[in-house]
Amino acid sequence: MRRAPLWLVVLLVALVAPSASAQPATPDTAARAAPVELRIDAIGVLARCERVDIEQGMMQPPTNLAIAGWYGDLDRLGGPGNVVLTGYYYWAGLPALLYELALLQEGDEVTITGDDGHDYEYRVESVTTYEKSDAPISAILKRDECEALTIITDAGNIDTSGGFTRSTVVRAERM
Amino acid sequence: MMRRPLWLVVLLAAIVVPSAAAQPATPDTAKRATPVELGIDRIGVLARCERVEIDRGVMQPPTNLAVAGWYGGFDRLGGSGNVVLTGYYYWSGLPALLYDLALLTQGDSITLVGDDEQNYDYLVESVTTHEKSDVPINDILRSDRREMLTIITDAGNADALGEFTRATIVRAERV
Repeated sequence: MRRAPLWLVVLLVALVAPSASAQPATPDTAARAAPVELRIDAIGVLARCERVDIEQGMMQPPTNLAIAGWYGDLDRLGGPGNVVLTGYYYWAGLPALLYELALLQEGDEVTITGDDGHDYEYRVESVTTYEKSDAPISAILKRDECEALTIITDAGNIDTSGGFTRSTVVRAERM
Repeated sequence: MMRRPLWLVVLLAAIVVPSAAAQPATPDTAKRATPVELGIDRIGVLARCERVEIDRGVMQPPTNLAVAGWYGGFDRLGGSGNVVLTGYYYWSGLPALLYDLALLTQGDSITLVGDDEQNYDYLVESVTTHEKSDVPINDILRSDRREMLTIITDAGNADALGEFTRATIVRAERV
């Protein structure tokens, strides 16, 4: 009856991250804040963040359908780079945290609260849907000279194998 | 593959409410604030609230695994009475919003933000687990002379049919 979480890993994020992008944080970035809360008023999203990892090239999902995952090996808040978040889209017949991510539009605001107590505010620059087999993952995860935020979830309808073949990727820049 | 939300209604909230308990809001309470955000730091819960209903005696679940439901037929914030919330516990192999609710203990803090943008702070008075067939539902849902908050979710493990037969009930009083 119960499906093992391992089954989901492939389902949720079949995006394979190049292992080179999973570099350890440098002393500089380690001093920066980690995300603890995610707020997107335009689509009614409010959630706690937890650290998630990239294991053997696979982006792991959060442990809970109501929590946002923050990839701890990628960048932190408050400096140039790319903060990467994820969250569940839909699970076994019900919408989950990021079900409406694709409804965001350019100019919408995303706020992340850091573990330093500060609010980091971003403005959406693009909302794109990709076939997972076709997603430009290196470009999506690339570190940036500006302060970028990337949010990734599934998209579209379930295929015959029970998985989602598409992903929504939101790219935002700090205001 | 997909299970219909209707299936969940019974699963999540098989608690049958006497229809007398679903009295319409009086003019007085209608002026009070409704919950828009739920925060329980002790168990890492942070979520938006949406209004949910009691339909033919069955407490309906929220529309999203990451959103808290507030029963609009009961009391509002900021006066004597009983504000009643719910949220998903576990769904098809994965923890959802209120998975850790039963870990709360007496004296823990719960904060609701109202649509008047005020914080309403409560302290947990009791955390109990009941067989659903045995829940003292009238006591739990009864309006009170104090400012009470009641949070209800599933508990324990799913039975052979994939249903949860137990419920966790948290009662808290406004600080």
